[in-house]
Amino acid sequence: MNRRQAVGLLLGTTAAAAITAPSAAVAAEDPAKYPSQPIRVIVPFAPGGASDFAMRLLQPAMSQALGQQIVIENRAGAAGNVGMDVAARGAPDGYTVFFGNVGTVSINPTLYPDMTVKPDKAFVAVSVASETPSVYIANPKFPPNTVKELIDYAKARPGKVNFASPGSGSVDRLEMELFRKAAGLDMNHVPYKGGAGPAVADILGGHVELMSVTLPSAMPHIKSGRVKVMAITSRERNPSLADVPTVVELGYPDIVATSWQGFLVPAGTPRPIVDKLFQAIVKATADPKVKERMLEGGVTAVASDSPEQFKTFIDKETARWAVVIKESGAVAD
Amino acid sequence: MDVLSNLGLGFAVALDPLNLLYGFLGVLLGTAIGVLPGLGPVATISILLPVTFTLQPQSAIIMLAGIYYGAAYGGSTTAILVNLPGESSSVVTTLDGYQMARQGKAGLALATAALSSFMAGTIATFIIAFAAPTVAEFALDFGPADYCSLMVFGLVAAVILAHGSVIKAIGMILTGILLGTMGIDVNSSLPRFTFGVPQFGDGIDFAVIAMGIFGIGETITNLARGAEAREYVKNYRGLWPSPHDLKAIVRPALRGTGLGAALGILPGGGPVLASFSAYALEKKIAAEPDRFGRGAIEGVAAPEAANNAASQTAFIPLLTLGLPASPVMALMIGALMMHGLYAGPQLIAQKPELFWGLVASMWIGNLMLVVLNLPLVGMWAKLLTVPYRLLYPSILLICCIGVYSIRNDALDVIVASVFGLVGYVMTRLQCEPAPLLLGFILGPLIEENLRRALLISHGSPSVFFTRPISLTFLILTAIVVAILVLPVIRSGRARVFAEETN
Amino acid sequence: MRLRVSTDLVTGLLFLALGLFAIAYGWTYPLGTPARIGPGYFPLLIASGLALLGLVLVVRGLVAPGERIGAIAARPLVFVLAGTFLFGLLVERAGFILAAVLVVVLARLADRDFRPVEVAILAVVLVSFIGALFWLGLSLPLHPLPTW
Repeated sequence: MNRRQAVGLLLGTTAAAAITAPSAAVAAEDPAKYPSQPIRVIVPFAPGGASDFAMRLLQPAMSQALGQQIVIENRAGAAGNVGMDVAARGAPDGYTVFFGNVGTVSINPTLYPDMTVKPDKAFVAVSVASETPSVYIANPKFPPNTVKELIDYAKARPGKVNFASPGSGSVDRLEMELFRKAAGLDMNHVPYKGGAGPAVADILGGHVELMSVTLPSAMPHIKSGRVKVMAITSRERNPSLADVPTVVELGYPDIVATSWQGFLVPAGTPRPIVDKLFQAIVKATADPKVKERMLEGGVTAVASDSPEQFKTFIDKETARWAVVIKESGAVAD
Repeated sequence: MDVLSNLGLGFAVALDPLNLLYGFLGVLLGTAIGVLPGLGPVATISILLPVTFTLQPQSAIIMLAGIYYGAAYGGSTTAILVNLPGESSSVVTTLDGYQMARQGKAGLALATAALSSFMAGTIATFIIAFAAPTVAEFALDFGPADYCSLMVFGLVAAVILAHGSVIKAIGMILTGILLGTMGIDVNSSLPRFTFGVPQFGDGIDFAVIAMGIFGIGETITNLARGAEAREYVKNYRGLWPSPHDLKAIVRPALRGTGLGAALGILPGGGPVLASFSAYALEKKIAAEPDRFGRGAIEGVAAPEAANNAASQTAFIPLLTLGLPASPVMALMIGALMMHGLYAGPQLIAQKPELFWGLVASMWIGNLMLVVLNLPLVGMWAKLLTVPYRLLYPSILLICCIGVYSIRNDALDVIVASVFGLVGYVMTRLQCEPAPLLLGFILGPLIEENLRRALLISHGSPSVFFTRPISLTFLILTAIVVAILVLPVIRSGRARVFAEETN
Repeated sequence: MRLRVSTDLVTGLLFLALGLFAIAYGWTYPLGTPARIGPGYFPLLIASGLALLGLVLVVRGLVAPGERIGAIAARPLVFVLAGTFLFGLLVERAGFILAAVLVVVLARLADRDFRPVEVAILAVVLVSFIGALFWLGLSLPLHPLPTW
C-alpha cells in the first residue's frame, strides 16, 4: 500500500476521520487537565491492516478510559516510515500519539539506515498494546510434518528448502531466520510483497514449501486444512490451536517472537501525560470485550508493566532484529 | 438448484431496503470520487472503510463493493471525456474513447462503456455464483514462473496497441519498465533510482505519470494545434447507441468479458492486463485494424467489459480462499476482520447470507451503475461543448490538485509537470503513451516474479519451459512476436529493394 | 549530405541517453547470481535494451528518410508547465488559493487569446468550486491561505 491516506471524507454521513488539526497551540497546557481535547492516534498503515485492526478495537475502550475522543489517522507509506515521521513531528503535548509496531520501531531503523526519524530518539515509549504470535505453516504435500522432521529434511538438502515471507525485512522473515540459525539450517528465502496474502497463496498452491506467518493470516487456511502447522512462536500454546507445540517446547526458547503493536509519544511529552495514557492503555487492554475480539483474530491484548519496561523491551527487540537483519543480508550494505 | 436457492437467499439480502440503500450509496460515492482524477478505488475505499465499521457486515461489504466498481466505472468517464485515465485499467479506454469524444460521439462512447460494463458484470456475477470454487483452484496453480511468462506475453501483446512504429512502441515499454524499477527494491531493501529523494522510496504513483502525460502533456499538444483544431466537439451527434452500434458492441464486449473474467482471478495486474489484452485482441482480429486509435467503438466496448469483469472475478480468490488478488481485496479482508469475520473457505458455509448477498448485490450494483450513469451521459457530453479556452484551465487545475491529493505531497505535482513535458515531447516524436504505462505497471511484476521463480528453482531457468502454464504463454509470446516481426522484415526488404531499384 | 532531424533520430537519441544514464547510475547495484538475482540485474537488462533500441533508431534516422519534427510550441509549453510547476512549489507555503489562481492565469496566458475579464471570472469560479470540492467535500488538508 503506497498511498498515504490523510484524506478523510466528510459527506455528512460521518466526521470520524475528519479531524486533522495539529494541536501545537495547547503545548503549555497544565498536564493535570489532560486530556481536554480529542487525541489523534497516528496509525502508520492503511485501514484494514493489522495495526489498524488492533487500534480500532482499542479505540472505544481507550476513549472511555481517558474521557476524551480518540481520532485515528491512517498515514501509510514507505513501510510505515511516513506515519512515523508525521507522528515524530507532532507536538509533545499528548495529543499526538503514535501507534507503532515491531516493523516501524524496531526493524526499520536497521533496514533503512537513511531514514530521517530515529524512533529511539524521537519518541517516548508508553506501552505495548497487542501481540500476535506467528506459526510455521507448510503445504500439506511437503514431506516433514513436525519441526524435528523439518530439521532432518532440510539438513539433508542444504539450501534446497524454500521458505516464503511477506517481505525481505518483515518480521515473519526474520523469525524464520532466527529459527534457521538456531537449528543450524541452510534454507532458501523467497520474499513476496503486498502483505502476507501472495506468499500464503503460493504456499497453498505448493510453489513454496513453508513460511512463518502471523496467526491471523494463517488461521482460515489452517482451519480449512489447506496448510499444516508445525509450531507457534509464542511462549504458551494458543487456545485455538491447542495441539500445536510452541518453539519453547521444541527446545528453542530464544526464538520466541511476536509481532507487536504499541503506543509511543513524541519525545518531550511530560511524564504525567505519559502516565495517564499508560493507565488508559492498561484499562483498555484488560477490557474483556477488547480481549475477546482480539483473540478471535489470533491477537493478544496486553499492556507493559510500565513505560520503562516497554522502553527496555523495544531496545531489546531493536538490538535483536538488527543482528538478524545484518546476518541474513536483508539489508544491502 | 442449490445455486438457485442460494441466489434466492442472496437477492433477499441484497434487496433488503437498507442494503439497497448502502449499495446505492457506495456506487454513488464511488462514481463521484472515481470521476475525480487522482483518487482511485484503493484510496476511495480506504477513506470510506472506517465508515462501514459501524454497519452490519453484509451492508458494509455491499457498500464497499459498490464503491469499488463505482470508482472503477467513474475512472472511464474522465478517460473518455478529457483523456484522463482515472486509474490504470482505464488507460486503454482513452485510446478510442477520447477519439470518439473528439468526434462528437462522447455520449455514444459513455453509453458503450456503461452497457459493456453491465453486460460483463452480469456474466461475471453468474461465473462467481456457479463456478467460484473451481475457478479459484485454477488461480492457485499459477506459480511465479507462470506469472512471469503471462506478463511477458502481456507486454508483447502491448506492442499491438501502438498504431505507429513498432520500435518506438518497444522503446516506450522499456522506458515504462525502467520507470517502474524506481523505489526501494523488495528483495534487498536497496533504493534504486531514487536520487536521494525519500518520497521516491515507494516509486512514482501511476496516477502522477498518467495525469502528467495525459492531462498536462495533452493540454500542451492541444494548445499547440491552433484555435480551430482544438475545439473538442465539431459536430455533435450520436448520443445514444443505434441498433447498429449495439450490434457492434456485443461481440467485443463478450470477448472482453471472457478475457477479463479469466485474468481477474489472478493476483497483480488483473484488470489492467485484462483491458489491455482485450483491446489488443480486438485490434488483431478486426477487419480494419487502422480504425483503432481513431475512435473505434470496439476499442471502448472490449476493454471496458474486460476490466469490469476482472474487477468482479477478483472477488473469487478472496471469497473462496481468503486470498486477496489486489490491494482493494486486501482492504476487503480487513473490513471483514473488523466485523469479526475471516475471509476463507469457511465463510461461504458459515455466512451464506454474506457471500450470496454480495454476489446478488454485485449484479444489482451494476444495474444501479447503468441506471445512475445513462441519464448522466447527456450531461457529461454537454460538458464538452464548453469552449476549450474555459475547459483546459479546469483540467489543469483538477490535475494539479488531484495529483496533490494522492498523498498530500507537493513533489508529486512537480513530478507530474515533468511528465507533462515528457508527454508533449512524446507526442511530437510520435511515441505513444499507452505502451509506456503498461510497461510501468507490468515491469515490476515481471521482475518480481522472475526473481522469485529463479529463487524457487535455485537458478534453473528451465522452470519457464517445464511448467505447462508458463510454456503455453511463452509459445503464445513467440507467436505474437512472429506476427509482429514478419511484416516488418518483409516491408524492410521491400524498402531495401525499392531503394536498390531506384 | 545534410542531416535530417527526423523523429526517429531524436527519439533514438533520447532512448540512448536514458538507457546509458540508467546503466551508469545503476552501475553499483549488485547483479547477483542466477539463483539470487540482484537489484541491478533487471534495470541493467532493460536499460541496455533501451540503449540498443535507441542506437537502431539513430541509425535508421540517419539513413532512412523519416518524418521531420515540426516547430516546438514554446508558448503553451512554457506557460502550462510554469503553472503546474509553480502550483507544486507554492501550494504548501503560499496556500491553495494563490497557487490555483496561478495555474488558471498562466494556463490562459499559454493561449494568445487572453481575455482579462473572462480569465478573472474563470479563476474565481474555478478556484472556489474546486477548492470547495476538495477542501470541504473531501476534507483534503489544504491550506487556503499563505502559511509563512
